Amino acid sequence: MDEDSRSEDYRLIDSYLDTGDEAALEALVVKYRKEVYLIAYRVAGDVEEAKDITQKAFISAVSELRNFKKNSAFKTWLYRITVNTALNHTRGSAYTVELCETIKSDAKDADTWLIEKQQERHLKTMLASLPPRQRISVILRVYKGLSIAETADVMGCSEGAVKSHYHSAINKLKAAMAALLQGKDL
Amino acid sequence: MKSEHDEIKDMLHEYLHGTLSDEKAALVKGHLSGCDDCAHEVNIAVALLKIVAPDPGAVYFNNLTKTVLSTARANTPKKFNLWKYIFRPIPIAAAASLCLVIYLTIFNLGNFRNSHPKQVQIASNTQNNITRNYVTHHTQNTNIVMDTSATDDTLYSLLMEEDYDDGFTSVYGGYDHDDDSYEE
Repeated sequence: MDEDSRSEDYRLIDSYLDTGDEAALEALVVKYRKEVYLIAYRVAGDVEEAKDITQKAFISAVSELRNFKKNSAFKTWLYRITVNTALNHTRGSAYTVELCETIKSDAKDADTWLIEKQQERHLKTMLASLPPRQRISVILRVYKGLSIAETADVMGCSEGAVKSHYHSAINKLKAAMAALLQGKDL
Repeated sequence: MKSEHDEIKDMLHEYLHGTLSDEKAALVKGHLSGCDDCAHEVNIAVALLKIVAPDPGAVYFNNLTKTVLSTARANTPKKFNLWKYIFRPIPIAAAASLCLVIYLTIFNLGNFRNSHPKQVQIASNTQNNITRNYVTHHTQNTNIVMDTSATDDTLYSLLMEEDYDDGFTSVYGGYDHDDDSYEE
C-alpha cells in the first residue's frame, strides 16, 4: 500500500515537472493538505498559525520540487518541510493551547466526559510544554504513525536520537498523567 | 540484539493504527497484558489520539489548493522560444538602425577615397614631370650644378622664372629647336 502510494506520488511529480501538468500538482496538494495541516496544528497549537504554516510549507515544497531526489517517500520529504516551517514559524512565540477546541469522545456519561476532557486538556498542555524535538517525535510517532526510521528521516537525526527524544517525552507525559490521576497539582 | 520487549515497543504505534499483520497484532496484544510499561505507553498514545484538531473547513482547503497552484504557475520558468526571441520588434529595429549607420559610414568613406587622393596625385605628377624636364635641359645645355637638396617646390619656382616654352619644348636628344645647325 505504501509502495503504491509512493510510486503514485513519483508519477504525479514527474508529470508536473516534465509536462507542467497542474492537475498532477493539484492531486498531490489535495492528497496531503490535511496531513500537513494536522502536523502544523500539533506543532503550533493554533488554528490560524497552522493555516499559515500549511500554506508556507506547500509553497516551499512546490518551489523545491525539482530538488526532490526521490531517496525517500514524498510524504516524508513533505513532512520534513512542514516540521521545519512550523519550527521556524513558532520560534520565539509561545505555544498556545486552544481551550475551545472540540474533543470527540465516546463517553456517554457527563461526568466521564468531563474527566476525559480534563485529562486531555492536561495532556495537551503537557505536550505543549515539551521541548520542540521531543514534541515533534511524539507527533510523528503517535499522530502520523511513522516508524522510528521514518521519524529520523523527517527530523534529520539518527534513529537513536529519535528513540531518546520519544521515550523522554513519553516518560514525562506518563508522569503527568499519573500525577493527574492521583489528584496532584503539577 | 533486540529483546522481545524492545521489538514490541517499536510496533506499538503500528498496532494502534491497525497496520500490523494479524499474527503480529496478536503478539502485541499478548505482550500488553503482561507489560505495564508498554501498556502505559499505549494509554498515553490513546489519550493523545483523542485530542482532535479543529477542522479549518473546506473553504480553507480549496483556497489553499488554488493559492499553491497560482504560486507554482507564477514561479514556473517560461520555455525559451527562439523564433519569438529573434523576431522581437525592438532588437530588429536596433539591428536595422545599426546596419544603416554602418552602410552610410562605409559608403561615405569610399567616396572620399575615390575623389581626393587622385586629384592630388595628378597635380603632383605633372609638377614633377615639369621639374624633371627643366633639370635635364639645364644639366645638358647650360651645365649648371643641381642643388640636390632642392625640393620640387624650389625647382618649380625656378622653372617659372625661365621662358616656359623654351624650357619645356626644346629638349629632344640634346638638340635645341632654335639651334641653326639642327635646321640645316
